[in-house]
Amino acid sequence: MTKAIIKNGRFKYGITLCSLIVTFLMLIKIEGVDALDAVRVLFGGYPLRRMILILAFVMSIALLQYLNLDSIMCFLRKNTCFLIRYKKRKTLIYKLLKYIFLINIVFIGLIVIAFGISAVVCGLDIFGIDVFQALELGFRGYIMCICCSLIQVISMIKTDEANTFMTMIAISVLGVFLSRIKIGIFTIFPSKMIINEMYINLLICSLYIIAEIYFCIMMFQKKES
Amino acid sequence: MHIKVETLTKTLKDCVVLKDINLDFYSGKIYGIVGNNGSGKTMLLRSIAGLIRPTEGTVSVDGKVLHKDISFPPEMGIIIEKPELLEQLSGLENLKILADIKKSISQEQIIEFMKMFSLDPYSKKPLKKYSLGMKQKIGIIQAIMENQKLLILDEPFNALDESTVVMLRNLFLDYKKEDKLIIITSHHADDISILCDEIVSLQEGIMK
Ligand SMILES: Nc1ncnc2c1ncn2[C@@H]1O[C@H](COP(=O)(O)OP(=O)(O)O)[C@@H](O)[C@H]1O
Ligand SMILES: [Mg+2]
Repeated sequence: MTKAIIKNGRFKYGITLCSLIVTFLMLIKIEGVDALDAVRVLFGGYPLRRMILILAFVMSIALLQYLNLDSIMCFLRKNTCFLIRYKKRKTLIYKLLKYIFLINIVFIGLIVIAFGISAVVCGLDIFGIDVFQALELGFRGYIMCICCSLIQVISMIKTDEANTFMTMIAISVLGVFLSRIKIGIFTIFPSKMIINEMYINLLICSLYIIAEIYFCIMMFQKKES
Repeated sequence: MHIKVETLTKTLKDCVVLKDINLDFYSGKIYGIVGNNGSGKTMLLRSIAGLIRPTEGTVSVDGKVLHKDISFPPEMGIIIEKPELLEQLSGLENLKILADIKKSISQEQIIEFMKMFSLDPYSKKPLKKYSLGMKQKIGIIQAIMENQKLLILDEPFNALDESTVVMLRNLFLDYKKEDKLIIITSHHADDISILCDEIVSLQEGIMK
C-alpha cells in the first residue's frame, strides 16, 4: 500500500520538482537570496518582504496541498471500499495520517533535490553550507509542512475541496504576515532562533501537531459517509 | 446471516429521508429495493452497511447491533456510487491495494476476476483513463472478489454493457445458491424481476 501511494504520485513529483527548481533559481539568481535562506523562504521562516519571496512561499504551500490531495481524496471521499476492509473508522484515519507524514517526507526530499540542482546550476558552494543548520532547517520545515497538511486534512473532513483550497490560501497569506512580525517561540515557521528558544519552539509545534491529530480523529469518527 | 432493520428512521437536516423502516433479510436470497430517484434507496443501503447512523431505530446482523456491538456487518462486499480509488494506478494495482488489506486472495484470483469482466489485467492504463463502465466493473470486482457473504449493491448494472449484465445476473443467481445474501437497487424492472426473491418499494423514505 505504501508503495502504491508513493507510485500514485509519480507525475505530481515531476511537476513539483520542476516548480521547485524554477522557484529556487528565481530566488537565488534574481533575488540574490543566500543558499539556505532560499529554503527558509519556502518554509516561511524568512521575513517575506518582497513579492517574489511571497510568491515562492505561497507556491510551496500550494505544491504541498497538491501532493497531499490524492491520498486525502482516496481515504476521505467515497471511501467505503477502504472503510469496510479496515473495519474501524479509527484505523482508516490512522492510515491516512501515516501516508500524510510519508508524503511530507517526499516533499522535503523533493525540496532537497531541487535545491541541490539549483545550487549546482548557480555555482553555489554546497560544501560551504553549515550541515547542522541545514538539518535543523529540514526538520523544522518538515514540522511546518505537517502542521499545514493536517489543517488541510481537518478542513477536508469538515468541508469540501473548494473550501479547503481557500483555507490553505488563507493559511499561506497568514504565513506571509506572520513571517514579518515576531511571534517568537509560538510560530510554526522555521525562523532563525537561538538554540534554547528553538527547543521550546519544537515542543510547542509538537503540541500543535498532537492537537491537530486529535481533532482529525475526533471529527472523522463523528462523520458519516 | 440475518439482518434485521427495526423502526429505522434517518433525518438529515430536518429532512426525513427514511421513515420507520422494518425489514428482515436472510441468507440465500436476493432482495431488490425499488423506488424513484431520491426515494431513499441509497440511504437505506448505507444504513444497512453501517455507513450512517440511524436517527432512530437499529440495524442488527445476527443479533449484533451496528454502531454498538460492531461497526460494520462482517464479510460485506459493497458498491455504492463510484468508489474513489488511486486514479494514477491501473485497475489491477488498485484491486491489489484493496486485497492487501485483508490478504485473503491472491493476485491470480484478481486477474481471473478481471478476465471474467473482460478487463485487461495487464493494461498499464491508469484508472483515470477508464471509461465509466470500466470503473463500474472495477467497483463490482472489489465488492465480490473476496467471496463476501453479504453483497450490498447500489445500481450495480449502471453503465454496463449487455453481455456483462447477463453474466452478472447469472453470477448473482449462483451466489444465491451458495447461500449468500444480496441486496440490490436498480432502475430496470427487468433486473429486479429476474433476480429478486423479494422486493421492497420505497416512496419518499416510506415503505409501501
Ligand atoms: N448529504 C445529504 N444531505 C441532505 N439530504 C440528502 C443527502 N444525501 C441525500 N439526501 C436526500 O436523501 C433522499 C434520499 O436520497 P437517496 O437515498 O440517494 O435516493 P435514491 O433512492 O435515488 O438512491 C433524497 O431526497 C436526497 O435529497
Ligand atoms: Mg441512489
